[in-house]
Amino acid sequence: MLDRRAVVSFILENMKRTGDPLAATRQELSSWAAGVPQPPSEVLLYTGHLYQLTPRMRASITALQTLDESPGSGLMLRMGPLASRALSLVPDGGLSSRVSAALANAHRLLGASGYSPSYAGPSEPYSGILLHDLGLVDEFRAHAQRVLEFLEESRAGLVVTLDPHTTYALRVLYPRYAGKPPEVRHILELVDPSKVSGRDGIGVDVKVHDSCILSRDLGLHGRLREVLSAAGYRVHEPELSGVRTFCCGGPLSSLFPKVASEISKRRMGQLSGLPGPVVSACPVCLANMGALGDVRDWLEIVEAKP
Amino acid sequence: MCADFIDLKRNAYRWASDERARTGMERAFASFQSSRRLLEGNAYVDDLAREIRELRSRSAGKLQELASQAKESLERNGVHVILARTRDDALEAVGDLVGTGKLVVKSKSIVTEELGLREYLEGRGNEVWETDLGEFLLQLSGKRPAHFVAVSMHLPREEVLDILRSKLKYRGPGDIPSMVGAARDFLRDRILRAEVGIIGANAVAALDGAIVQVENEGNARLTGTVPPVNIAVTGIDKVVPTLVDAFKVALLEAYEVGGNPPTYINVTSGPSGTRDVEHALVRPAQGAKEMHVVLVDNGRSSAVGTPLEEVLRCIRCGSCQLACPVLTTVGPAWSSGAYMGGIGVLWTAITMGRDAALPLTYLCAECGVCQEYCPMGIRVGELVGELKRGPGGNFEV
Repeated sequence: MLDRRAVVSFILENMKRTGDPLAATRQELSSWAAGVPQPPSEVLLYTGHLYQLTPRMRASITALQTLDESPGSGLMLRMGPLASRALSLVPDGGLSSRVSAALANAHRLLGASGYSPSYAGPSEPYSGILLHDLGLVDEFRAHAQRVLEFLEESRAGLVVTLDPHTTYALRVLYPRYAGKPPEVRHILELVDPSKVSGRDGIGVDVKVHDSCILSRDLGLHGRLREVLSAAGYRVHEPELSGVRTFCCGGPLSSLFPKVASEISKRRMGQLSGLPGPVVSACPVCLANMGALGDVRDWLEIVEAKP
Repeated sequence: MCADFIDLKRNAYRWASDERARTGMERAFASFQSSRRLLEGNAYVDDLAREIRELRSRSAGKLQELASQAKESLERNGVHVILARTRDDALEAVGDLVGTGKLVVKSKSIVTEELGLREYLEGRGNEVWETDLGEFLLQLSGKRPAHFVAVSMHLPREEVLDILRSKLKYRGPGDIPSMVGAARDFLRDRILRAEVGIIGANAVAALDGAIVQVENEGNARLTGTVPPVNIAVTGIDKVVPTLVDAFKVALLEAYEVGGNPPTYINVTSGPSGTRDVEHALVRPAQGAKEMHVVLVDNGRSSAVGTPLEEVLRCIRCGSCQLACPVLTTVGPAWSSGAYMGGIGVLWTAITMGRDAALPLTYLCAECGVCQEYCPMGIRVGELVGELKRGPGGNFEV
C-alpha cells in the first residue's frame, strides 16, 4: 500500500523533471492549439494543463489503485526519483483526442463571443493546484510565483481559464500565497449564450453533475445551465445539485484512489435514473466519473454557432 | 487513538469494501436527505439556527467564564460540580465518584467517547452498559461510532441480527421492531438495577444551573433518574447563558439531524426532591439521590483565539457528517475514536492536538459540502485544509 510520501515523491519528481505533476508531454499539452496565436496579447488563454491531464489522471487512478493492492508497493517509499518511472502512465488515446477537441472548441467559443486569446503552448506552466491540495505549501507558493512571472511576461490584462480548479487557484489561492494575478475569468463567464449551439448526435436531454468548486466556490452552476439551455439542451437535475452537489471523489484520487472510485460510483448511481449523458464542467470529474459511464464535458457538447 | 497514514488508508479501504457497512451507510444517507427535505423552506428552523449561531459565537469566546458561572449555579441547586482541565482529570473524577464493583448504565455522550470513559470504568472493575441502542450495538460488536448521532449507521439490520444472536443469544426474528424489543428488555433490566447512571448534555445553562438533553429513545431520561447516583459528563463548550438558550440548542440539534421535533427534551437542575410535607426539602424523591456534573475542558479553552475557535460553535448535530461523501463511504475508518469526518478532524485537533489530527486531514476531499449543511456556519472543509497545510498555510493552533 502506497504511503503519502511515495505519492508526493512521484508528483514532485515529475514536476522537477517535466514541470507537470503527471509528466504530460509537450505534445499532449499543446497539440490542440495549432494556429492559435502566441502571447503577448491582451487576452491570454491559460489552461493550467488540467484538461490535457484528464487521460493521465484516469490512468493514474488505475495505476495507483493497482499499486495500493500490490504487496511490494511499500518499496516505493525508498525509490525516490525512480518512483515516477515505476508509475509511468499510459494515457487513453481516445480520451486524449476528446480533450484536445474540447480545448480547440473552447478557443472557438471564445472567438465567437468576441475574445481572441493567445495561448503559450508548451511553455505554459502548470497551475500547481495539486501541490496545494496535497498540503505542499512551500512548493505551491514557489510554483505560483513562477506562474505569476509567466503571466506578467505574457502582458495579458485578462486571463481566461477553462476549469474550476485552475480558476480557483489563480483567483483565490495565488493572492493568499504568492501574489495577485491579472484579472481572471472563467470561460463560462465570457461565453455569449446567443452564440452557442448544441452538437449533433448528443440528443436533447442531458443530466448535470456540478463540480464542487464550480458551484460552491465559484458560483457558476447557474451560468452552466444557462449556456446548456441556450445550446438547446434540456437539463435534468439530480437531487443533489448546485451548491449541494455530491463530490466525484476526484480530490482523493492520488492518495486514496479506491475511495475516490467508490465515491464516483455512488455519484454515477445518483445520476443513473435521469435521461441523457452526464455533463460536467471539470476535467477532474471527467477523469473520475468518465470511466463508469457516458460522461461529457460541456466543452464537448456546446459549440459556436456556425 | 489516532492512526498513521497507512493505517488510515488500510481502514478506509477495508470499510469502503465492506458491503454490509456500505448498505447501512447508504440507507442512513438516503434517510438523512429525506429528513432534510422536511426542513426546506422551514423559516422557524432557519431562524432558530441563525439565533443559535449568534449565541454560540458569543459563548465560544468566553468558555471559562460561562463554565464558572454554570458551576456556581449548579452548586446552588445542590449539584456537585467538577471542572476537569484534562482527560486524565475527568477520568479520575468520574472514577472516584463511581468507585469499583458497580453496575453502571450510561446514555450516549460524545465527550465520554472522547475520554474513553466506559473502558476506563470497566478497567476499574465496574460493569458498564450503554443504553442508547446504537451505542449498545457498538459496545456488543466492539466497533467504533460512524456518526455523532447515528452512531451505528454502518450496521445494517442484517449485522444487528448477527450481533444480537452472538452476544445476547437472541433467538427471535430478524425484523427491526423485534430486535429493538430484545434490546429494550435487556437494557431496562440493567437500568432498573444500576447503581450509577452517567449521562451527557446537549447544552448547559450557566445562569439557571441546569443541563439539557435531547433524545428519542427515553433511555437518557431513565439513565439520569432511576439509578441513585447521576453523573453528567460534558464539555465546557456546551455551556450557554440561559436555560431558554440551552433548550433552543437542543431543539435545533434534533431538527437538524431528524427533520422533526424530538420525542424528549430533558432538563435536570439537581437531585430529585420534594417539598410536599410542610414545604421542607427532602432528597431524594423518585429520581436520583445525588447529582454530579463534570465539565471537561481538554483543549477547548486553548482553541479560543485560534482559527479553531469557530469549531466551538458546533452543536454535534452531525448534519455535515451525513452529507459527507467520504464519511458515508468509509464510515468509522475516518475517525480518532469519538470524532469522525471533517468536523471530527477539527475536534481531534482541539482535544488531541494537531499532530493527532494531521493524518486524518488527508482523507478530506475539501469538497465543502459540509459547510452547506452546517447550521452553525462552521467552515469545516476550509479549516481541515488549513490544518493540513499547517502554519505555512496561515494556520496556527
